[in-house]
Amino acid sequence: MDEKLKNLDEKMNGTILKEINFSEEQKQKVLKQINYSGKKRKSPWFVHKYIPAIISVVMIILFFIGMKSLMINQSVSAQYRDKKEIVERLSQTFKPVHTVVGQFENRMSDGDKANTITFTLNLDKELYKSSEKVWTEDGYQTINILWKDGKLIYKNSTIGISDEKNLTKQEFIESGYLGSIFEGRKYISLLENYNNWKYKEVERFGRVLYQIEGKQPDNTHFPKKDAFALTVDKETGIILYLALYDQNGASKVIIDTIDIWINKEVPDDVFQLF
Amino acid sequence: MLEKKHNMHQREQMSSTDPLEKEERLIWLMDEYGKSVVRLAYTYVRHKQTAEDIAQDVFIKCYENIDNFRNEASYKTWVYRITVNRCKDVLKSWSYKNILFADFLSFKRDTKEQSVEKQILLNEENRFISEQVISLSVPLREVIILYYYEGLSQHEIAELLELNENTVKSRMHRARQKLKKLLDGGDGNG
Repeated sequence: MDEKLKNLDEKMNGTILKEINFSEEQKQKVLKQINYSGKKRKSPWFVHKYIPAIISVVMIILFFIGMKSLMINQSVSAQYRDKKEIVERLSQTFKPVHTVVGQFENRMSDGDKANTITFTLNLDKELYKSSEKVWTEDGYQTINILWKDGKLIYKNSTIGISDEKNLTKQEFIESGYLGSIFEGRKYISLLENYNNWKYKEVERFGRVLYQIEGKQPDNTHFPKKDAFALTVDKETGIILYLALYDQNGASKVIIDTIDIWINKEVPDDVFQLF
Repeated sequence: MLEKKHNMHQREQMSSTDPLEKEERLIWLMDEYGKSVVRLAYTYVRHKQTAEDIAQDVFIKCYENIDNFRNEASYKTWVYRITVNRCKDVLKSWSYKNILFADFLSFKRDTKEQSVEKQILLNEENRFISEQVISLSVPLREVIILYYYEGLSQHEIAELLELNENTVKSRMHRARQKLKKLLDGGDGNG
């Protein structure tokens, strides 16, 4: 064993750690941060001399600001209660989900070709099956996944590999195999400023949906950085559509649901090996 | 190389009263340990962006505490301890779990498909060993990484992780057994 682990630094640095570096940009970020906090710490001498009095005044001001802020918050909270509920729904997608059958397309942020995922899920019985057409730099690949009896079987028939591993329900949910329509939490940041978006309720797929349109926050990390359109299932928070726009109006559709049935009966015999 | 080591030795002997400005010392720390810190962090969190964020946090923490640094430990041990503690905090956090959740599709593509497709180009055996090491549970992984990757002694690992030396030995033993099983199984499969 020692022989295999010999020169582990070279082995790891040459493979999985090859791209992991502390860049000049990251150093500059650290320096910027410490300079900012350093400047904040430097106080003129008279501040120290009069510090007790200053603290008293500040405390009084803070008390009044706090009171006012509390009143404003209560008012804001009431004003945006509905929007807050939408955000909470996105963060708790799995709570009201029992079964889902559907097909959707998604695009990775760095690619234009769509992946197509056709899937059946019975979360109560811990069963999942999907067939995925996934775009890679070498073209489309077909991936089949089955999760049954606590075991996940992964098969890529295009390049001829398969894998198996044990996954509990929680591990399966957190693994991401379910795909982007269940990843509402990933997109909560789009909705962080309640003033920047509006929504209306619409019906599609026999479901009541929130159709949201808005402008992305300034610090967005998404590939197109201007407007966005997001459609969310009202009951479950499952994402049915997401498009991002740049300033010229060019869009990138990240998620587009083709069809979906939520919390309908699903026969167990669907969940068979491919 | 010798010059670098000599320089490092000098720096490691610096006391907190040395005339070097804090910022200069921070820059030196980042130059000297930046790559090691971000890579050590990656072995814990297995997520590039998170590892980079951790490295930044670590050096900010170093800056804040540099006046309290005592020469009882080396800078390396000190910086690594801050890194390990920060990594463990992050591993427990909700946001980390959320990041993994959100990035899993790309992770899946990177680790499964690319590693198989490009196995010859990417030196399959080294990658396989590295991936098995990084797949160990955190308590086993960290002792293997610190011993074989960072080249620390078992005594230094015990000090860094604030563990009894016997615990480190026991974890090393279990980690080697686990790896043997994983690597032999992998070899057997091709």
